[in-house]
Amino acid sequence: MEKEFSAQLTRKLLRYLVPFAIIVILIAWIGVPMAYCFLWSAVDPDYPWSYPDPLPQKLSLFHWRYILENTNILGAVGSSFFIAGCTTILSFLLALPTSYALGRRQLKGAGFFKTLMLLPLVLPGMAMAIFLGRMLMKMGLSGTYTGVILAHTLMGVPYMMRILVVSFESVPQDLVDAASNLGATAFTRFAEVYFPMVLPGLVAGSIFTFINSMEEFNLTFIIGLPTVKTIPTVLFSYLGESFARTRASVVSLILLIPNLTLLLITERFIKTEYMGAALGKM
Amino acid sequence: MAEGLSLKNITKRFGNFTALNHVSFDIKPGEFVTLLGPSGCGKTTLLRIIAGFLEPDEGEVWFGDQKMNDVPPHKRNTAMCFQSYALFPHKTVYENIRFGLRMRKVPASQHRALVEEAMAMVNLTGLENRKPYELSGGQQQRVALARSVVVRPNILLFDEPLSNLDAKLREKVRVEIRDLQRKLGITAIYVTHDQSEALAISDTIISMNQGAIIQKSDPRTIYDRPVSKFIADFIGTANLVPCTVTRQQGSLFQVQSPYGMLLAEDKDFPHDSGEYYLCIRPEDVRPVLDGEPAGEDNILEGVVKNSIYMGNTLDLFARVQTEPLRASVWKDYHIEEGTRIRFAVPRSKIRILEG
Ligand SMILES: Nc1ncnc2c1ncn2[C@@H]1O[C@H](COP(=O)(O)OP(=O)(O)OP(=O)(O)O)[C@@H](O)[C@H]1O
Ligand SMILES: [Mg+2]
Repeated sequence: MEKEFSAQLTRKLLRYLVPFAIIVILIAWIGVPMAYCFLWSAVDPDYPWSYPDPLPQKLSLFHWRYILENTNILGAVGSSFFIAGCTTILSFLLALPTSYALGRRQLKGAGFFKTLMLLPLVLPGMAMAIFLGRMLMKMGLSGTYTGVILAHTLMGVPYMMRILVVSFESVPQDLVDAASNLGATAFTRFAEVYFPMVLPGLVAGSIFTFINSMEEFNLTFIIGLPTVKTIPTVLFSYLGESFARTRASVVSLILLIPNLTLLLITERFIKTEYMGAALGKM
Repeated sequence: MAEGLSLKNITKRFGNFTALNHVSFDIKPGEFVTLLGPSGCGKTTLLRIIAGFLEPDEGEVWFGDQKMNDVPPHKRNTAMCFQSYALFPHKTVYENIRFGLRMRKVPASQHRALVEEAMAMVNLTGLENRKPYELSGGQQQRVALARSVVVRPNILLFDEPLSNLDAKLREKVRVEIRDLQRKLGITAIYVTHDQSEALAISDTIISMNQGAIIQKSDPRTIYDRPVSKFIADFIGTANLVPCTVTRQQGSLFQVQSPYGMLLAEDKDFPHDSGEYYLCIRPEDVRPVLDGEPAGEDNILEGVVKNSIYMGNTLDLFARVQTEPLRASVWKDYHIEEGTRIRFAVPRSKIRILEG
């Protein structure tokens, strides 16, 4: 009796304690810095916030206005999204057929190709950037969106392929056979068997590529400047020139917007249903 | 339309393992053929070759008078019920079953009726909108079965389609499969581990072992007149012991065995003498009560070690000389363990087999 009671108590404690602990950690890790960020971004320049004060004396939108009026940060957000979007679509188009071939066809040397395609990931980013920058400059693509998108795609495709090859490999052969047995042509097999089954991989790969492109600094900096400016390059040049905690806070908060949007989109897309569908209960 | 099927010298290797070794047979249009054999003997591989998923290394596949080796699977008009079910995980039960109808361009107006008929046949009505992962194993298997029969192909290929069903449902669905196949005159190849199922459902049984065909005959022949020790052992139960055989006259043999000296009448046995095996089915052994005449039958005297009441029979595990003998006798006998007893075995029920 007693034992059972204490076991029940433990279970109850666990049920409430664990989420509670998670919330505490989240607050400490994300909430507190965010709150500070907000406060810092709203400090009025005439009433500086310094040590013993627990809170700023006066809040104002001065720094927000300053940033929005004096830098083209919204433009940078726009071009970041544009570049990331194009990169994702292009990577998708390149990776889908190649991953199918590597994952499903008994190609000679498939193992070699699979290793080869990871090469861009292991080379140091700066070295890649300089080398690629040279190449693209020779091709006259320096400082163009095309150049930046091509460079990002080169980095994005391996990620996409890595995920997709595995997705394609894990489609059971019996499913494909069943489809053709029932009369499906190669096209239908792709559309109705492979595609829905690699979709979770495709979504995951796309999000990965998108975020990678949004965060890419080296390539954008070397190839894109001076015309193409994205969030990381703006942020970097900004922080580099005159580091001010207040303005950096404003920039950080603006940069949060695209990331949050992305998070919400991701949330909608990667539903457990897709995962269930892919893994099935075979 | 029914279509006959011929395999000519099919050989299939995986690396240096030979999964099928010169397999040849003919199946008549509308025939129901069962492939029976132990796990790993190549049954699924054979079906996959017929459906066209695998290419044989040697040999030819013919449907009717057309050679099919170069015809891709989606143009072969076979329908296979997969051992792994192979249901499309992202489609509902209804869409899974309808898939073949769509692919074969059956007019959409007929789909619902056909799918519902197939679902009723396997007791699935009401589960149309579930996804495969929301079904039990047996339900998934029935979806796979419905998906294959609904398209009414020329040749139906069943890879252990009932292995996951309970005994009652298995019997019902088995009868329905057979009725449908007869009604539509479809040629069917049916793989099973279950020898009683094979005997019950087939026109012809093809018994396989290690990638080769051992015997192809109708159920009665394969059970009563197995050509080898392997088949006698695999299909049904059998008392199998080594023996020395001498032909006496005609089809009468004298058999020296651990059970003693016996007389056997076997019209199929081709040799005159040598070392072979003798086979006695448990149900051909009958107890001889005191004073009862045994006539010409062989008499084996032994002690009952175990007596097990099975409901429909009484199974006796006896010892004759030093050799175990299994007998399956009328259920109303009361024979206790430890009883000394005489068994009678008719001459014609002793079969002599090669190893
Ligand atoms: N793709 C493959 N590569 C290598 N060996 C294989 C392959 N497919 C089948 N085999 C082998 O071929 C043999 C026959 O396999 P198959 O699946 O036809 O057996 P089965 O008779 O259907 O057995 P079960 O009754 O267990 O389903 C097995 O020994 C198996 O290991
Ligand atoms: Mg099998």
